[in-house]
Amino acid sequence: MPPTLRGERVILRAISDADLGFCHVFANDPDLRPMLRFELPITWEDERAWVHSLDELTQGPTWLMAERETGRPVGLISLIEWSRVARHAELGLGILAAEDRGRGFGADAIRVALRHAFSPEGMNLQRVHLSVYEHNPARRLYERLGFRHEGTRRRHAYKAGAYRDVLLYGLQREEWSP
Amino acid sequence: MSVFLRGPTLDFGPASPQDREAFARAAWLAGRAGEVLLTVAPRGGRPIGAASLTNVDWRRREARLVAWWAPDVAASPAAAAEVVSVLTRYASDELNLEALSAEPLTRDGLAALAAAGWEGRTWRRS
Repeated sequence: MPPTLRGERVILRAISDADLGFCHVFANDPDLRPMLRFELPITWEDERAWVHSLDELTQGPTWLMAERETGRPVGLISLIEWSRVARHAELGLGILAAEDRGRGFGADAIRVALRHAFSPEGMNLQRVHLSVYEHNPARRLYERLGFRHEGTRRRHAYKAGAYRDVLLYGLQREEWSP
Repeated sequence: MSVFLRGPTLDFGPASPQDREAFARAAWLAGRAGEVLLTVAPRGGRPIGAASLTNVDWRRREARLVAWWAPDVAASPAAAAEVVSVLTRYASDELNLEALSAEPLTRDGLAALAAAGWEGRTWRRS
């Protein structure tokens, strides 16, 4: 189970069965889907199986992102594909409600997750990477937080009625300023 | 309810295995509840039917559209056309399919296809 992490605006905590409703809505949300890798509907049973399959030790941590003041779930964030040898992991996140985007939750959550990723007491990684669709405005946030554009998979995805580039970003621990 | 697709008046949610079983019991739908099975409900309401993309052929990029109303539901032609329209847009814009076909059992079903821009019993990406 991943540790609970506290930021200025969010708390990152382990996902429990009590969060299944939120996770199920998140996984199927039609407005969020163009930014995520999902295409097909996800049943409640699929979602429960996913929640039960989460294993920090083999996959890396996945947290529920909750508003710090109220505890209200706002999104999910993860550091998956954790390689112990190469010391890297892939960052992924999403914020469910449109009205919660642009309020600093994502930036705060990423800073907190990166602190955990690079900290010797945390995952002690050398590198964190991510991929983002070209049409996802979150790419500017990643750049602002120090991620460098490392390459482009041209027309790699089909999203919102068109083939889209997938942009690859990476951040080395030496490049990260907490 | 988790919403997977949103139409102007209808919500489409992921069907559960129980839904799948219930829909499969409808004789004419038996075996046709395919890869994509969604419940159909008025916005914020309880499901009144189901819609499915079945026989999906990913290589030829085509599928069959099947829709079904619960027996006690008298759906309007506009609602039927909305189901076809939303599923067609999903098949085109999210699944990158090129063609859909359907076998409507009633004149209303055929009218719903026409209202959603189909030609006869088929839709093909223009």
